[in-house]
Amino acid sequence: MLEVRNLTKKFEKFSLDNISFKLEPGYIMGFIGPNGAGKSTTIKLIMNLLKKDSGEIKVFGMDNVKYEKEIKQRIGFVYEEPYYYENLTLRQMKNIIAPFYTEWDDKQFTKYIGDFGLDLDKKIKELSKGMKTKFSLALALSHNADLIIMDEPTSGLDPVFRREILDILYNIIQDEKKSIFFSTHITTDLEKIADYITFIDKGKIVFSKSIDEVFDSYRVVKGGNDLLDWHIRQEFIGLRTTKVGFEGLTDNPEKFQKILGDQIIVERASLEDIMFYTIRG
Amino acid sequence: MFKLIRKDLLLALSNKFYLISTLLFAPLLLFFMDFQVNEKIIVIIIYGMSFFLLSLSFYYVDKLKPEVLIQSLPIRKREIVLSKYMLVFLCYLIGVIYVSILFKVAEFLGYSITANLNISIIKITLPLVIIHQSIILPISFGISDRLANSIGTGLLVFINNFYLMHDFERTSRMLLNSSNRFSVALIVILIFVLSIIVSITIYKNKDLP
Repeated sequence: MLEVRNLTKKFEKFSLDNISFKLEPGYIMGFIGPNGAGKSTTIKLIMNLLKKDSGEIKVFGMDNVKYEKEIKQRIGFVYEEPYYYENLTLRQMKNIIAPFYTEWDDKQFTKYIGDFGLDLDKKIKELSKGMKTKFSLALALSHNADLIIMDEPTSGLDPVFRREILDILYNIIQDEKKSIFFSTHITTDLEKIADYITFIDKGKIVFSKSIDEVFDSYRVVKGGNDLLDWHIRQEFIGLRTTKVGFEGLTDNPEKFQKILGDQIIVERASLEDIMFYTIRG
Repeated sequence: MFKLIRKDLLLALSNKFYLISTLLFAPLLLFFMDFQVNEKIIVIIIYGMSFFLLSLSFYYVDKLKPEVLIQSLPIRKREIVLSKYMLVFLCYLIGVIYVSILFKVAEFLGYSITANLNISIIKITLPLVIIHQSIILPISFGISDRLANSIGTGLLVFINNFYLMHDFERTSRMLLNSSNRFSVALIVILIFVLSIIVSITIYKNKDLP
């Protein structure tokens, strides 16, 4: 469905360094990382909005530059910042976008517009951020796309609407031919729906694994500060100490249990823990 | 490609204030000239109308950069560029038709228009419009719409002042002279094709913000 291999893009102050990952049909991949990690750059490269320096991007098995038009027919996109003509009404904007898609489904679009409570005669500039995202989503889901690419779609939205989006995505993925590539830094959203997680930091892939593998790999270890010595500290991926004790991330909990026994508590790590401790160190 | 042209026309129609201002340009000019128009004024009107009509759709200056949206749609970058160049002819045609209708309406209202919209005017205005857009379109694709629009306005003022208002005879002689006809056509086509090639090359390699 989507394969990125050894992708590189250099800017003056930032570079995307040799990144690779693969998304199979029927799955949702969460693309996580802090702000400025390279998530939007990667998505822009996939959409051929930026010119890559080297590497390969294949969508539906086709090169994303050579078969740009064919590929984009089958992609639904939702960006964090909706790039619409603000003076147009939703109806006018839809009338501009719809003719480009051979499989545009007006019935489906009208259904989403109704479900999302949008008014087609309202100007885009009159919509709130959440409403604009809903409109983007309605457009992305109305041309029978096989791959939905979303760049921070839930950022700045209230929890109720974020939950609604996740439900919609969950329903889409019931069709096993469709996939979703979803970048976000709100990791709790992904824990609910993602099958795979790709973690990017400072332009480099930290890991790209199934969510089960991610949760099996990492643990949060908690204990008293008196247990920490130089050697123990070195064993953590990331460590945080407070007056009451320490909390650290590890991918080798057995080692801690062997050394510290029942003086520590070992807990399941959330995606946020993994992201936080990996970045902070 | 026609969908892109349709998109540009829809955008042009949506910008009501600019559209009305553009449509008022010709009648206001005619009014201030007391409808005493000669070929020079008709050339200035058509040249200006074409530029303003193109500006309506080309230079939709927007804070949110809808170029990202357009490039995310199933279209090749080459098609985006070519559609803009095709729009040059369409806007020129609309400008000519609009001016013809305006003259008919003025005549109907009893004003006497002293000059005619004839083939010589087409031979002068079409190369002007083509060269004008051939200069500013690569700037629009390569740098920004805003800069292209500013340069386009400057160019319009410059050509109007120095070549049309003060030296119209020489400019029209040069463009209409039968011995120059072939070389003028060749130069205009060459500039136009070169401009398309430059715009496609720039746009294909351009990184969007």
